[in-house]
Amino acid sequence: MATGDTVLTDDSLIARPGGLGIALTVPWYRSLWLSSVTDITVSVAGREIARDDLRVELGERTHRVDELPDQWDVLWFVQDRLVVVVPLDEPPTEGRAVDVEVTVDLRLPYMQIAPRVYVTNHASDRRSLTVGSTR
Amino acid sequence: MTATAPTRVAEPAVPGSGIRLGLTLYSLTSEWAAGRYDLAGLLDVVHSAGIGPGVEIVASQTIRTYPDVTDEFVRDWRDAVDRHGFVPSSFGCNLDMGRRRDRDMTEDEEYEFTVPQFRSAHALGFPLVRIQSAKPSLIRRLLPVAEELDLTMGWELHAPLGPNSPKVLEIRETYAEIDSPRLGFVADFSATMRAMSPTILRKLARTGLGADELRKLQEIWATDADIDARHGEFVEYLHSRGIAPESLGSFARLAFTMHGHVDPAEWADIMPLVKHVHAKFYDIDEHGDEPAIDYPAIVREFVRAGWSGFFSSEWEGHAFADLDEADPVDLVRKQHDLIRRSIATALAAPSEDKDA
Repeated sequence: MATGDTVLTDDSLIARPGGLGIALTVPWYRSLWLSSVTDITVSVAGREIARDDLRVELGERTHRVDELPDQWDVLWFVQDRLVVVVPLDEPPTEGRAVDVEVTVDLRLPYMQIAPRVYVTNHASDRRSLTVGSTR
Repeated sequence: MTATAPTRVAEPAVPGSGIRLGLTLYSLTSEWAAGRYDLAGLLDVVHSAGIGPGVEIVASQTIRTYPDVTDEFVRDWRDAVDRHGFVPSSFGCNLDMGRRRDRDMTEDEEYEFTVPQFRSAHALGFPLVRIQSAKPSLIRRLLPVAEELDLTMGWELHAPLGPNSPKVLEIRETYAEIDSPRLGFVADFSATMRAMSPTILRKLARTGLGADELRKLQEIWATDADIDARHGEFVEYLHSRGIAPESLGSFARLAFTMHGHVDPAEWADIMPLVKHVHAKFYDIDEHGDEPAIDYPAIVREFVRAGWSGFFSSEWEGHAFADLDEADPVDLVRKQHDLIRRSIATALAAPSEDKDA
């Protein structure tokens, strides 16, 4: 796990109509409330995607990145994948290799340093991965 | 007391000592997070490796419905535990006081968040809960719940603290005031390391540190300054070498917070309060020893004190090593051999003078 470099796995990329799904692993050893995710940034083929254009899916739920702070009662279970959906003008087809970089910033809700101040984790992972079909 | 299944008794690791073996499933964090096993599969792997009988969990890692458990989860857990002859040892609670972003939990919320975890622990057959806050008012409020559920509460004593650190002395004072056998510590051996683990040094070498920088890091680590001062000194040194500390991610700081170097003899100062042990380790070398943690010296303290309870193996190499870089199950097996060997040696020298 090494607390950071497993954000992406070999099967992270999912073909989606109008874009690309990127399945993320929690960059920590335990499940965390979605409110613990303080930021997500994504670059595809070297181009950073505007945060407002990202959609974050966990099971049946979909959120914008800036809605995550309010999701303090939704648990991102450590075995579940958070799928970030990226809109792209030319969605890559299945089997194609795509260079993606994802960073996830966490605020660890049980590791308080001072009132309202918590230990953070910044995890960044960049890989060239092949687009798969489903997840 | 609520009705519960009879508690299975674990055999000692070596006859003549009260130390029992087991592991925390946290040792298999990487494999679990990668989705390689479901809980039944994970317990099967542990059992087929001959590891046990104690099994510990970190609730927020193992339970999908954390902090609660479903009846189905309880049934599956109890089935697996019975099938394999495991003994539930410790249930790791967390206190997610920063769960909301607009404010910290109130004290009522801290209590309300912890009670369901105690109930989950009880339902799963655990006799002990690892707790993360020893705030006196919270402890006093939780104690009747622990009594009702027949649980012992153990505050985790982890690096960089030791048994006689100011914060721990305060908790010992609270415990002395309340004077309940249900209060104590989970002793984590990260507090009493003799060296930095080769695993983190390898990780730091991969992030670009050379032999000189690693030597300096270990020199600073071995001094007695507090962690902020030691970390600060190392950061300053990195700047002087033209290295951006950020290039090491969180590892430069973790090197100080996850590795403590208190003398193992200090465990003797709190032995009656030690209710459970996290037998932390990072690696086992070709001689069967833990390069960074002096198991024979630590075990000697526990054997001399006639201590009884679980040494729950906690392989934390996954914090610095990638998935499949090491085999945690094989390492736990080797560490159990080391612990048995250390117990046998300590038992063979019972009359040795404590300070010899």
